[in-house]
Amino acid sequence: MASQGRRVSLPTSGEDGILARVSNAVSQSSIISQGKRIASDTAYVTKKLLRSTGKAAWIAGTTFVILVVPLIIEMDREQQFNEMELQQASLLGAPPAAQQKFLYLENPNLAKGGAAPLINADANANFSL
Amino acid sequence: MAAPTSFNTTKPTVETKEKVDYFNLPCPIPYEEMHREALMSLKPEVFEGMRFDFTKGINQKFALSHSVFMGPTEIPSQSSETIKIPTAHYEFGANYLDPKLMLLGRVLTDGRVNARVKCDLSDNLILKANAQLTSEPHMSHCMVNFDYKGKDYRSQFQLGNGALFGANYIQSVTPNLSLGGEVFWAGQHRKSGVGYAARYSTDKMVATGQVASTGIVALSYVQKVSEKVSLASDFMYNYMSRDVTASFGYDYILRQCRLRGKIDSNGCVTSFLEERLNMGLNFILSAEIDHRKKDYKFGFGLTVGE
Repeated sequence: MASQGRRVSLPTSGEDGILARVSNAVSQSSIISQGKRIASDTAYVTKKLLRSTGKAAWIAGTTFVILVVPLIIEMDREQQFNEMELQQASLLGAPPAAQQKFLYLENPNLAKGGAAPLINADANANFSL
Repeated sequence: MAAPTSFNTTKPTVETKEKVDYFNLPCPIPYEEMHREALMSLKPEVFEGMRFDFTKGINQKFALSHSVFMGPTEIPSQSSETIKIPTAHYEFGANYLDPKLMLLGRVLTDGRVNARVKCDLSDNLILKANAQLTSEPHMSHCMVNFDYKGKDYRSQFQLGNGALFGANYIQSVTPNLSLGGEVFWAGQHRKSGVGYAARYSTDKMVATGQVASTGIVALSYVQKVSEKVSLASDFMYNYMSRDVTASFGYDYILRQCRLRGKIDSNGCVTSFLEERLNMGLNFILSAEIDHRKKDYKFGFGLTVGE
């Protein structure tokens, strides 16, 4: 009985009520479908964009970790080493070293250039083999 | 042939500075070591896994070396994906070093033997021999070189197994520029070829160019920025396989370490750090990332002795 009643009632509700007609008109209008397409397109593009930016960031980041980070660490260590040596030399009170330190304070490049040959003779001896 | 001409253009600037004595030119660098500065900076021995090297000098001339390597090694395969299998081997070596005679021998646990001889036959003539013996058939190689060093030139004659003959000659043209050429004939593969090379070097920079009839064009440039830092770049073009590679790298030689980094056009980033922990104790870190193939190689090692 209930199924019969439903069968009867279905066509009556399918008859265009005001609300259904409005919703149909809205959902089938070209503006809405266009809007939907644009929305899905933008979503797709943003997704792609995000993914490729992420990939680029990943590549740049790993490259940075491999190429630049060790370089920064080693440069820093080298500088610390140089400073320590200068300090030690000035503590020992060797006059030329003290002079060098003053030079270093005034013009860091000059002192670096002065200390360079010593460093390199040592480093080359170790690694040229 | 583009390479030599490009170097010729830089020649006049040198000549104008001072009168060059063309009968007293310096001896050039051997032909095969043409690119050595660029190779030193751009081609460190990258490895994957762990290695431990120990060298012990018995006396002034004689030294023994032991090295252990553990890690994955790549197997060549047809597919694009690389296949790696874990391997471990131990290498025993004996070195005899004398100014006149150098003997090196290496034995690996998998049966490979490597032997090198360098012997000064006279002041100008040097004999070099290199042999690699393996248990697999057709994989053993042997090569004998005769190097003749003249006042401003060097020539070399090569003999190898598989009826390989080669000869090369390099001549200093100006104090900075040297030009060379080579011919080779490989009887087994029925191949022959010629090659030309030019090298322009000052104390601040080195530029080299090489072309060969096998279709290879190689250019390299190394700039010494300071005593500690040098920057290198190279370009390689293979006409036969249409392969183009360019790479750029830095080489820092500091008091405590040597750091080399490289990036190339195949999306491969490499860095190699040798850190001196103590006298005769070096720690090695090696990293290689191939973004395109998604192949990541990291290795560490310890070198004791030397």
